[in-house]
Amino acid sequence: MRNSPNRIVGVVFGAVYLLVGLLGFAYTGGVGFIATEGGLLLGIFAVNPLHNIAHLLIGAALLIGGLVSVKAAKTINVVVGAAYLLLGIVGFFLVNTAANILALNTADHFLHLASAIVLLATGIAADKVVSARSAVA
Amino acid sequence: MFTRQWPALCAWGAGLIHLAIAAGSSPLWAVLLGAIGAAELAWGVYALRAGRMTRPRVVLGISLGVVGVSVLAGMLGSFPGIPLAAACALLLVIAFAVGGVLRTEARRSPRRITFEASQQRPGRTLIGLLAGAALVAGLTTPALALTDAGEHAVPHGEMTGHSGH
Repeated sequence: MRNSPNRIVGVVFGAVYLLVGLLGFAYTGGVGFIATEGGLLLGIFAVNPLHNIAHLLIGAALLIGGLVSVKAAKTINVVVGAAYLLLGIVGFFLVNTAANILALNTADHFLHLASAIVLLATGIAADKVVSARSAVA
Repeated sequence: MFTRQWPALCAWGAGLIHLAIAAGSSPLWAVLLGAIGAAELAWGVYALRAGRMTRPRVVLGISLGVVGVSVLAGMLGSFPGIPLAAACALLLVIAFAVGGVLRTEARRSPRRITFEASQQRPGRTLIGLLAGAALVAGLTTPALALTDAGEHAVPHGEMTGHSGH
């Protein structure tokens, strides 16, 4: 696992997003499930309960992919990265509308964009030759 | 070097900015800037997949050409200046990297800029990726917020702790 950038990224990002998802619930007491204005996680990142659940699911997916195999980590990194990039683009058109059901703010966009870049770049550029042996190593 | 993947990341940042500017432009500029943005995103993917800098002279010409178009857009259209400047800065990073490749080629000691993450030093590669992603996101996010699309966004920073009742 130490030789696979995709597995390392999957495990590290997965663990961080799981932690962020759990921590988020400490800041969303009294916040509506899909409120367009959420609580501020660490005083910076706006989150609502739906956003927390999304973090938990994404974190779990990344972590499991990273723990299972190179191929799984690579696939999940690309999928989650693409989803984050799409969220980064679409999010700018959704905020300040009722459709902003994830309570996104600028700090969220920064985090999502940076995550998208790392996950996509790792998924596309790293572990191109995945042999049957290394796929499960 | 741990910055080898940065040109591709910069292309993604510039692509996002050009797309956001295109979203608030007149049809002609929207088509032009939208096509440029889409091409930048696609080149970033291609460069990472290829694992190296292919056709450096073409890339250098196009990146400088797009900088020229962006400057022209800033002069002729009523586009936000800072996002255009940010896109130009990201494109100049690409041009600078390509310039390094061409200079090395001219010295007849072929060295390709490799985007592929090293299997031997994944830690170093990932640190480079994280730093590059943070820089590109740090430049791109505020630039996006200053485009028309971003201006229509929520009054950033006005959210409060538990205001979502």
